Amino acid sequence: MTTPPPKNGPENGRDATPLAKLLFGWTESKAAQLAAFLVLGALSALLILLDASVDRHGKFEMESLFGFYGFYGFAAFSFVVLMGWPLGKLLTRPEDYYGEADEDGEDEASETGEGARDE
Amino acid sequence: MNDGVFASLLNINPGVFVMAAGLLALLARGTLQRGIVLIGGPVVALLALLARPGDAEAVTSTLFGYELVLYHVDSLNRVFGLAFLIAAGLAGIYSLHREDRIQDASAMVYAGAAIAAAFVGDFLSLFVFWELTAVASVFLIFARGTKAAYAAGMRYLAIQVLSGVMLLGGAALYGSHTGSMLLPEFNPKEAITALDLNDPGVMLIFIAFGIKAAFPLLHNWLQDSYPNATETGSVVLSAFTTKLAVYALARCFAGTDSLIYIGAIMTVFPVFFAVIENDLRKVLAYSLNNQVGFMVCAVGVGTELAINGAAAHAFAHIMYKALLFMSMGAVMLRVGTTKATELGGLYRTMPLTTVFCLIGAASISAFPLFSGFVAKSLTMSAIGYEHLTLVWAMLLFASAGVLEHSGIKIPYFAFFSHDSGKRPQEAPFNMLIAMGGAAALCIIVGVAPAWLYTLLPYREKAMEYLANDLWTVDHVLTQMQLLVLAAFAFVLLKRLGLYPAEKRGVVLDFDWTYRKLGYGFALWTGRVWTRLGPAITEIWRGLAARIFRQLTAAFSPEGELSRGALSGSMAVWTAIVLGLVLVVTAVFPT
Repeated sequence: MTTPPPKNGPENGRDATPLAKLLFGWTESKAAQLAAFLVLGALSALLILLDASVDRHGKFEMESLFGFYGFYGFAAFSFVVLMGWPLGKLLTRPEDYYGEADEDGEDEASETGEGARDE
Repeated sequence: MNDGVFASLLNINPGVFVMAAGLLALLARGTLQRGIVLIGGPVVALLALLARPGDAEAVTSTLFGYELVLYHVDSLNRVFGLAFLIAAGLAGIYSLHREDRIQDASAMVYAGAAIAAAFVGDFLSLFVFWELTAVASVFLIFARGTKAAYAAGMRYLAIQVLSGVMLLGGAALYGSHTGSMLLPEFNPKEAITALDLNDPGVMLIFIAFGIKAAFPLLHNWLQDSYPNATETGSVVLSAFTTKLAVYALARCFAGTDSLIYIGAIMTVFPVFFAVIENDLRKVLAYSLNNQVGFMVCAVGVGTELAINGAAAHAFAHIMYKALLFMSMGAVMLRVGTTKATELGGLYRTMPLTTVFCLIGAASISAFPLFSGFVAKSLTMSAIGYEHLTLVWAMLLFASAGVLEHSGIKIPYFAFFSHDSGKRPQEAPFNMLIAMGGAAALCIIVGVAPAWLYTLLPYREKAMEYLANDLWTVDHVLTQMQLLVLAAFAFVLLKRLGLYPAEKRGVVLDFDWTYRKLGYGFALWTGRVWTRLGPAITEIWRGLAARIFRQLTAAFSPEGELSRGALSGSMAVWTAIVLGLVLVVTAVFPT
């Protein structure tokens, strides 16, 4: 096969199944990622703008603010993710903190052989 | 078949068929036999439930003078029972790749007990099956075989059994006050009367339900045990325990105001833990907690629309949560871990699992045309009609949070993100079938919700909602706005490098109080006792010896009081005191 060399992993794209390539192969391309970002941005703008054209009959006052749901969703999501920084620092401890470290992980996976590669 | 035999079969609680299948599973060998037992049990039970005439009498019995209702069907428990039976069948298919008779039996007895509990009508029978779900299911955690799983299993068992004991204690108190052990009846034509929380027995029952529903601060058993179960174990566990509690709350405490706020808090706080948690099955456990919060909140609102919302959400949730746990179970089986730091890029060799996971993710995020949308909408509207602004805002916030942890984080870190270099095999065929079945249900319910709505406790109200509210343009638009802009926030934060990277570690939660603080205190007490114990014993021994010596010195025949002429001095003193008592009683006769 004459596929170009992988970009972000030694085995990238080499052993993806045909179905996987067909369904999700595009997610590897930088251009597609940028396109997805732009499409999602455009879709967001469109959905907000559509707000003006729809007769809204909400049960709360704030619901009728222009683009309320969109902005609320954006703000809520960003808040949750950004809170991950301080909370992660505050609450994360080493895995054997309770003296019961999980025995799974990379080593076990390669021992069981179940994680071994297809072929 | 003989009509009489057939009719009597229809009077057997469907949970019994599933539990019987669990016992048969102990004998089944090979995939064919196991398949017949594990799928056959739930199918027979489902047929028995569907064939039972709608107006059939409840099956009753008596014990210690209390009436027991061993099997009755109404529109409230029917929808929960159906969801449980479907989940039991799917879990049976999902577990076929691993021949483990103990685990098969445990899963089926556990599922059967939950189903049976949904169809009984009194507290004593409920208690029996409530405890059985706890005892049977712990083997699904032990079966993982690790030390951590054993410890988590023991904690799980202790907390679950405690819930059962509180239920029994509460029921006994309640029964002694009211003379009846019966659960409140449900009639779609009458308003529900919730039990009165001022009765201490009822309060105990409420807390017992609260433990199983994983109320805030009572929730840690869930995040502790489910991620420690086997790949099939967490699928089975995710379906029954908490939803049985939701059902029990709906039957006994619909319209209890405190549930609104308990539920609202439940939807919000797990979101923050889910964002920093590395183990994706634990993320799902937090997500489960958050979803059950929506149902608890709806039960608290208690209107017809809200109870429909709780039931529909439970039904849809059982399917998509099982589906998400199934996809992570497949990853667990193939890679040996579900830690986000160890995963990434698995879509390459597990494309079907990826697709099923994405369907589960879209469903739980409540995208229109997926099951979460048709279920969650009922609850949100019910809260809207009650004008509970703060609660509504919290649930809306949590909806964006669900998209973060279950809609995006789970599929993204497992199947996409950076390439971990791992190339595991696709999930086994039986797992794909089970995931396909669950995914199909998520889509069918989402696209054609009428059949789920006809099963809801208040059928007419549900159909009315379907006709007038569900598919309105503004409803679909606002939901899309919420989700698409939240998704846009994800790609934006990712591009800006503001999305926190996953890192290995445990996240402290409330269980720190007993796993670290309580355990530490117990250890400290133990250590102190080991050192102090002998010293204290020595002090006591010394003291006792001294007292004995002095008493001997005073009272023994050679002692102080026996010496000299007045050897009977004690008798004289006694006579004087008695005489004084006589005088006093004579002077003050009362």
